[in-house]
Amino acid sequence: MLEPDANPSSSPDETPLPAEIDEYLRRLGAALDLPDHVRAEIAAEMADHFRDSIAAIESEGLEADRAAREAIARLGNPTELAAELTSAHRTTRRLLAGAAGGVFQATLGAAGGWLLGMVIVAAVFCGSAVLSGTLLKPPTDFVLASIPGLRDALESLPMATALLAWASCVAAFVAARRGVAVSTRMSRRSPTAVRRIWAVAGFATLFVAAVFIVPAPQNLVSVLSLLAVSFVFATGALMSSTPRMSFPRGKVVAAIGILAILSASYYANVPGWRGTPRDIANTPQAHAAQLREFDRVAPAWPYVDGHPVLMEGGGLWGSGVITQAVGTMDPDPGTPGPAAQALSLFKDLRFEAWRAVRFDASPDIAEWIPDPAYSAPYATAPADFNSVQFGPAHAEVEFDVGRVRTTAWIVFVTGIGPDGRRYRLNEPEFNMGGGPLESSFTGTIWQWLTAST
Amino acid sequence: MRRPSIRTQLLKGTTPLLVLTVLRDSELYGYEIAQLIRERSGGAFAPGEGSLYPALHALEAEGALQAEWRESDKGPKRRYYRITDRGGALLAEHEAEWASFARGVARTVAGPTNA
Repeated sequence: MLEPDANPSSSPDETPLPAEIDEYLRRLGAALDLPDHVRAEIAAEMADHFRDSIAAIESEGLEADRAAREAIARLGNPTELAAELTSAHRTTRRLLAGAAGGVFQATLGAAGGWLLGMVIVAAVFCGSAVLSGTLLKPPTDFVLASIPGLRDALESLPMATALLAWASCVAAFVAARRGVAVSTRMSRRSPTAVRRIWAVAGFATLFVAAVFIVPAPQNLVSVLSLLAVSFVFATGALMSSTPRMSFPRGKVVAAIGILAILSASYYANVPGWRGTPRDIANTPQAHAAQLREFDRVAPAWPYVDGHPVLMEGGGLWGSGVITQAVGTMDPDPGTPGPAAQALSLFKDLRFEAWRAVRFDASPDIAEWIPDPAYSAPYATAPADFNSVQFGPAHAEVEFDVGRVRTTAWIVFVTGIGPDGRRYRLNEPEFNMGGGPLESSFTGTIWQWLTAST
Repeated sequence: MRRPSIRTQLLKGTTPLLVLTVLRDSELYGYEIAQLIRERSGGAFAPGEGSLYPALHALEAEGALQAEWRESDKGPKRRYYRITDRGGALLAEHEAEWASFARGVARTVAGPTNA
């Protein structure tokens, strides 16, 4: 509703308008389907017109009341006038300018909002680490839990996707607000209509981009975070021009919400935060139980000097690829020792990537074993040992990206021994720090949704 | 339903031409424009006030006019309209169109000639 006092031309010394005129302007304003600033201008212009018109009619000898009625009659029905004025403002030129200007401003807003989002996310991320560390860990573990936890989280590729997505949420919100504001102002279309168009178009574009176009390291948290970007954009577009949240309650609620969400994503992405890792009691019973599980892969070749033939030299488990290195247990790989001599008896050496599951041998023991649901490795790659030297070898075991989600894997090296049987030559748990690493999935959300687990 | 008179229909169709014409020489606000048209026509006609403002706003949206809030000599701030280059070109078009139309109407009303 428009108040003549709110118009840009009003001043304290202006003649007050009769009640009928105020009512006319109120009806005119209510019927104008235009942005607020345009409605205010029209109301001001019409108020000026009435002052002039009434003064002229009064000078012809009519009384004030009749002059006001006559002035209204000359201007006509307010609803019809509003419809004509609304129509006059809605030109194709302004529509195109509004669309282009809105997109331009939204782009600028997105850039600024993204920088702002990165600052906010970084601050909240550190805050959530401290909060989670305080709440979830005993006080004595606080520093140990927080600092490595932060590092682990940053090294987790899906977590990075989630953090970028949350920064993008801020960018989407700012972009939507600026785009709607500029489009409304320039196109002179109804603010409600412009908000809806921006919400639908922005939501559809961002949703399709997130689900079908943009590849990224994914897990459940990153998927939800990426999808949130389109919802936040639509919310920003549909919100009225003035935020209604009252300070400080609304902001406190929003801050707690963001903190909770980021804490949850942090908690979900950092294994160390799901509880203090239990020390692996390397008891003979537990070890024997685990080795029995390993025997499903292949029986172990007898130890050389009390050790398996091969030791693992580390592995990189990236997007769709495992790069795994192994070496013999001999001190100098260039000088063949007992392990190298044992290895020379084998042919068809290969890496085998097996799906892994947690193995709880006892309440104090947590380890990893090949997933009992599978009787064959998921992927294999040749272990290309040099026939002269038995130094480190490595292999890249490729995953079929788009078909397998983030999963835990254990890599074994096997070979066909002198008796023609395949034997296991390493025991991964000794050199992998107690368990496998998780491979990360990179692809679109759609690929993640349709991938096997 | 009452049929609009010829004068009303003509006025509505020619309002942009009349508005552009009176704005050719000076900047004016809405009520002044209506008054000037009335004066120049010798009181014969004046654009309906209800159609004047939509016409002004449409011409402004088209880029033919530019509007500006300004202090007036006789009172508070008013919304002054000024013709633009684009408006000047549009006025020339309207004038030519009107002249052609008026000639055609005059010939038709005068009846067949012997030439």
